[in-house]
Amino acid sequence: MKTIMLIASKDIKNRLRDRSFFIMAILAPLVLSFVLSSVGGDAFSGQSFSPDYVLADATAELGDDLVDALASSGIANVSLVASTAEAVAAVDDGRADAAIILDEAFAAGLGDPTSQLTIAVYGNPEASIATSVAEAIAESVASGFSASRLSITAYAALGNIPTPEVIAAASVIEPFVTVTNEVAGGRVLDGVTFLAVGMSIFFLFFSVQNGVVEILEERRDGTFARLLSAPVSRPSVMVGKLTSAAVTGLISMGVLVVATSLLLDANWGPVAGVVGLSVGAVAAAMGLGAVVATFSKNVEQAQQFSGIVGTVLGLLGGSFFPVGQGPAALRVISKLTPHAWVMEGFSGSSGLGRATEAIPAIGVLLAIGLVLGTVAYARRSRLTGVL
Amino acid sequence: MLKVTDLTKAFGDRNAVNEVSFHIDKGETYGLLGPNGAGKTTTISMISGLLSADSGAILVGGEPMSTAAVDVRSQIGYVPQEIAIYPELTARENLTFFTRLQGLEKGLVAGRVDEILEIVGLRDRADDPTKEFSGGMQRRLNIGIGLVQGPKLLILDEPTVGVDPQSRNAILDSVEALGNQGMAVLYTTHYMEEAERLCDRIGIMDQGSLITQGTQRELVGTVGERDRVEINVASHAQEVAGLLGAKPFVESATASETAVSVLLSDGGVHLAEMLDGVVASGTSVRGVQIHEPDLEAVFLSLTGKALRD
Repeated sequence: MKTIMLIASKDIKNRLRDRSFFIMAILAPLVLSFVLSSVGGDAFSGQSFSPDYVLADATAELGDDLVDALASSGIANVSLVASTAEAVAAVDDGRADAAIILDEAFAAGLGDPTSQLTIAVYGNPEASIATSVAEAIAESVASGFSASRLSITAYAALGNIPTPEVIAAASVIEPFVTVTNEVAGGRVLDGVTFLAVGMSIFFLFFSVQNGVVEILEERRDGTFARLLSAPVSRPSVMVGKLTSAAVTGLISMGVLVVATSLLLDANWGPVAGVVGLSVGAVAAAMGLGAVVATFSKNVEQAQQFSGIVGTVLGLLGGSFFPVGQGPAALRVISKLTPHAWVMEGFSGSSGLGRATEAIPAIGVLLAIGLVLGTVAYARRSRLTGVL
Repeated sequence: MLKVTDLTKAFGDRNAVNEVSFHIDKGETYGLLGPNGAGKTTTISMISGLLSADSGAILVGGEPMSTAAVDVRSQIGYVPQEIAIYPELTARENLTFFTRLQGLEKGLVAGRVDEILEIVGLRDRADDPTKEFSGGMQRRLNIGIGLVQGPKLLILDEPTVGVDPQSRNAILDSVEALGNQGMAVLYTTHYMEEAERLCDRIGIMDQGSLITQGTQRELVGTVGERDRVEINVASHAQEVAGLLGAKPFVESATASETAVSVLLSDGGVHLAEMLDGVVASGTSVRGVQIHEPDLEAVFLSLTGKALRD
């Protein structure tokens, strides 16, 4: 144990002084998280769609209710404007994605059960989805009025005389714009947290893999032979080297969790979940790094392989974008990557606020680490050259 | 201090080391001399316990050495050919780490590190990161790390490769001093001059075999009074070597790119005839040197080729 700690502490000291470690493990993920969240973090998490609408309401009665109903649904940002011209100008100027217009003709026809009412939608051609959603909202409003008229007509057909109170009750807008916005039972990361987790994991894999590849570097530089020529057991040398890779990985994760929480307000969820997932991710990364190293002829090749493998797994695993929105095949392939399981674990742990939600993902990550580690152990002579 | 018996190691079909046997006594400096690829590094890798031998035995201080042996390693100070230090750490940190790795008591580490810094002349730069050191300084630290535990056997694998002349001299001085202090030293090199200067006994290796060993005087004695004449030519070195090799008074002649090495008795007497032959072959002579019998001549005599081929 003394030897393991001695070798690990030397490696950690050596690596923490290496500027490339600081850049790779701390600075790059932090800066990328910051930059990407600044330009629209929600866009990366898939939770971004929140168009801006203006509502021109000539009825002077319905607008406030409609605005409140849409605002409470969280589906759009809606603001009232004074006139149709002002609504059109807001869209033309780019201040709004679409305008929903209840004009004077609409207001005049409200009291006439026989009139044909029209709700106009004026959309920005560059915001086609937002415009389509505005149309759907308008249709929903129109359906509401149709239902209201139908109920009044039915009421009258039964020999009743609709009183103003009955008409008012039948015209309540609220029910037909009720929207719920839950995703997968709450297992979702907000935009900033998605970026913080994604970037941290993406670079964590590089950092830990590089730590394992460092064994090849030591072999090339002669220091590994020097370690093995000392009166210490060979397994303790290897465990010491791997311990340092794990510890530096956990240090970088710890720094990133604290930094993104403080600077970007990222929500990593319960501490136990963060610790468990970080340990699982480091285990998987170490296994991956060790396997990559044993299939490489030299340090340079190992670094190239690590870069390629880390990037591909990061992309497929959803470090940059939510693969859940991709094709079914991509979702299946994604599940083969450790990155996807880290994201999955944090989605549960952070999204639902319960560390236990991360347990399945932690289990899968540890299993990945174990399987890959076993493969690497079987090929260990390729890594150490002498064992 | 070290006894190697019939040491053999093959990599696939290639015999890297073939039944090598030698011993080194306490206070003796033994040189393994041979060209690149002769098997020197493989031999010392087995002696250091880094590589397993296919057959043969290694005893260090009477204890068997193998890749599984642990305790016996504390008797060996190993200095690899590469500059095996950690560049981000200071000289003191490097030495402290390796001293602790050797199992020295914690309270003794700092004092021992200071001693080594003094020996390798790096006390003034002890707390600078070694990546800022010159190549020579790094080489000195590389040797210093091999000394941290006060080994009984110091193994140096070509420690002067790529070193400037001044640092090289400093390294050779250090090794000489260590030998004089009673340490057994195993020194591999392909520089004849280093072996001649440092080593009490020399083993010459070629193609995995130890082809001869003894003191310098004994080895040189095997080639008798033969001289080695080195003729630098403008071109056609191979043809010139063939031409001179056919002459009855020439024992052997080998060519490098622009020089021909000839082993013969009475080099001075036959020099004019040899130069006539060179000119007759259509090239010109750029320089001539006649060497008294030396290790190069021994190697040439035993292998038919120059040491640096």
